[in-house]
Amino acid sequence: MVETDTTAVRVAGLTKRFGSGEASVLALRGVDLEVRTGELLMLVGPSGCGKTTLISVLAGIMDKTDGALSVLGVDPSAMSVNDRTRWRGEHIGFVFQAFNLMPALTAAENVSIPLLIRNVPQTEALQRARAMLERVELADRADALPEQLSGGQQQRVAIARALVHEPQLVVCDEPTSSLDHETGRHVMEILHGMTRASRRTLIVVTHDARIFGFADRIARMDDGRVVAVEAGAANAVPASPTSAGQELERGRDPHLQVVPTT
Amino acid sequence: MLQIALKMLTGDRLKYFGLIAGIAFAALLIAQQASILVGFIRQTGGFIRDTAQADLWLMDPQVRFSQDPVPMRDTVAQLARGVDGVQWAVPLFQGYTRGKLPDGTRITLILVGLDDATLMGGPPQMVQGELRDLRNDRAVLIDAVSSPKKLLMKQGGGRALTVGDRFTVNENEVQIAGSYEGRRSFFWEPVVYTTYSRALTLVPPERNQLSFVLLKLVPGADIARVRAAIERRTGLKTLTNEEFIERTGDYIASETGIIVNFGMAIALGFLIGTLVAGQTFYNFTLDNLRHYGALKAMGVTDGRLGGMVLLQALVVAVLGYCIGVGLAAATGKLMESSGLAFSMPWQIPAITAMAILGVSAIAALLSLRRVVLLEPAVVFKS
Repeated sequence: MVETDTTAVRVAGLTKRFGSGEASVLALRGVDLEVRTGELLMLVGPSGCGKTTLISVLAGIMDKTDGALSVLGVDPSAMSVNDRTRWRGEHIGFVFQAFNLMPALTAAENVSIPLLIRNVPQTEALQRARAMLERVELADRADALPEQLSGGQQQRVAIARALVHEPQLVVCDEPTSSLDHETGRHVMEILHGMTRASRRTLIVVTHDARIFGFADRIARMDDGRVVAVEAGAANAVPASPTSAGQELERGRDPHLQVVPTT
Repeated sequence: MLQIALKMLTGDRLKYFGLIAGIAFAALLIAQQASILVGFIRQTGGFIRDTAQADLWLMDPQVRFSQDPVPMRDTVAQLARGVDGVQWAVPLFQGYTRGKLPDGTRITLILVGLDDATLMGGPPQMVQGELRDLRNDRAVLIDAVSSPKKLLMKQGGGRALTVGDRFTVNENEVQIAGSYEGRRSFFWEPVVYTTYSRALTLVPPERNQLSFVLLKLVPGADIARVRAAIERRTGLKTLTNEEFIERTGDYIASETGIIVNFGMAIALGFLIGTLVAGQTFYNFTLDNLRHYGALKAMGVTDGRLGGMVLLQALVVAVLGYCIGVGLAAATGKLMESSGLAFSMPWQIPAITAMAILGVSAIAALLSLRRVVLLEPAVVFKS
C-alpha cells in the first residue's frame, strides 16, 4: 500500500490486546485497512468483532498494541497522552450512539464545546454553534436542553457538535441505532451531506443496514480482522431503503459489492 | 470550560443542594462546637475579669485556677506593698462556702471578700446600690444576672433573692445591699461579694485565710522588674489578668475533659461532613463520568478536567462554608440570651475554612482520581 495525500487512514497489521497473560484478549488481530480522504466508510460485523475498538484506536482514544497506524498523517499511539488529547480536539469529531450531550447545557452550548476546548472565545463559539445548528435544521431549538429534544434532534445536535470545529476525520458509533427508520435516515442524510460537501472523512460503525446506502465502502469485520471491503451503494446503483430492508430480511446486505482491499 | 463545569454542577439541583448541605452541615458542626468550647473556656475567666482593676495577682505558686486559691499568710500583702513600683496591694478572700436561703433552700456559693478600706477588686458594674454599701452591717452584693437562677428559693414559691433580702452564710445572717452585673461564668456557684473582714467571720476559721493579693503598679513601672522583686520577696507567684485567665482556661481545658468532648464533636462534624460531602461529590462525579469521558474524547486534557472538578468542589465548599458558619453565628446570636457559652473569634471561621477546604479537597481528589483514570473509550459504550 502506498500512502498518498488522499489517504486519511492507513493501518496495517494493527493489533490491540486487552489485559495481559492468560486472561488477555486480542480484540484486533492484524487489521489492514485504508480510508480515503472524503470517503464515508462503514464498519460492519457481528457484536464483539472489534469495530468499536478499531475506531477507538483510529480516533486516538485507545493505544494500539502493534502494527502500523497512520491517521491524518500521524500515529496517535506514538504521542504523549496530552498531545494525543489535543490532537483529537483539533482533528477528530465524534458522534456517539448515546448522543452524550451534557444535560445541563443548551443545544447551542453543547455544540460550542469543541470550540471552547480549542479556546475559542465563548461568544464566538456560541455564534458558530448556532450557525451549525442552523445547518442541521435546529436553529429554532438552539436554546433547548437535551431533555426537551427528541432522539433525532439530539443526534443532530451531536452531529453539529462533531463538525463545528471542522475536523478532518469524523468517527460515528452506531449513530442511528437509537432512532427510528425515518429519523435515522434523516440524520444520516444530514451527516453525509455535511461531510461530503467539505470532503471530511467519515467512519461509521453500524449494525443498521438501512443506512448502508450512504456508504462509499463497507468494511466487514469478523474476529478482530477486516475480512472484506466492499463498495457501498453510494458507489453503485442507489437503492431505496425499502428494498434494502427487504434484502436484509432475506439474509444478505443488498448494497454490498465485494471489492478487493487496497 | 469552567463555565461548563459550573453548569454541570448546578444542572441537577437536588445533587447540587445536597452537596452544599453536606458541606454546610460540616461547617456548622465544626464552627458551632468550637465556638461553644471557646465560650466555655472564656467563661472560666469571668471572675478574673470582674476583678480586673489590678495589674497583677499575687498567689501561691500551686494555684491552678481562679477558684482554687491556696491560703497565704496575711502579711504577704504588706510585703508586696513595700516593693518599689507597687502603687497599692490589697488582700482578697475567695472561697467556696455554704448558704441557706430564707425558704430553707441550701446552696453552695463563692464568697469574695474585698479589702475593707478600698473595696478594690469589686465588680466593675453595679445594677442596684453601690459598692460602698458593702460597708453596711452584714452587707453582701449578689449577681443580678445569675441570681434569678442561682439564688432561687426553690422551696418557697420560686422567687429569687433580691436586694433587701436576707439569707445565711454558714449560719451567719447577711443582707443583700446591692447587685452587680456579673459576667457569665463557667462555674455554676453564685458569687457573693462582701468585705474582707466580714468574709473571714462568715467562713470557718483557718490559720491562713488570704486567697490573693491584688496589686496595682505605679504608672510607667517596669512590670517585669516589679514582678521579679515581689516574687523574690514573698516567695510567691505573680500573674497578670491575662496570664491568670489563661492558666484557669488551660486547667479547665486539660483537667475536665471538655476539650476531648468538644474535640470529638468537632472531629465528628469533620468526619460526617467529609463522608456526606465526599460521598455526594463522588456520586456526582460518577453520574457525570460519561460526560467527562465525552469531554476527554473530544480533547479536554486531564489537567483541564481536574480544574473543572476542583472548581466544582471549590464552589460547593465556599457556599457550604458561608451557610454553615453563618448558621453557627446566627445560632450563637439567637441563643445569647439563654446563657449559651458561645464565642467565635476570627480563628474559628479561619480554622473551619481550612477544615472545609480539606473536606472538599478530599472529596474532589477522590472524584478526580476516577476522572483521570477514566478511559475515554467509555463513551462508545451504549
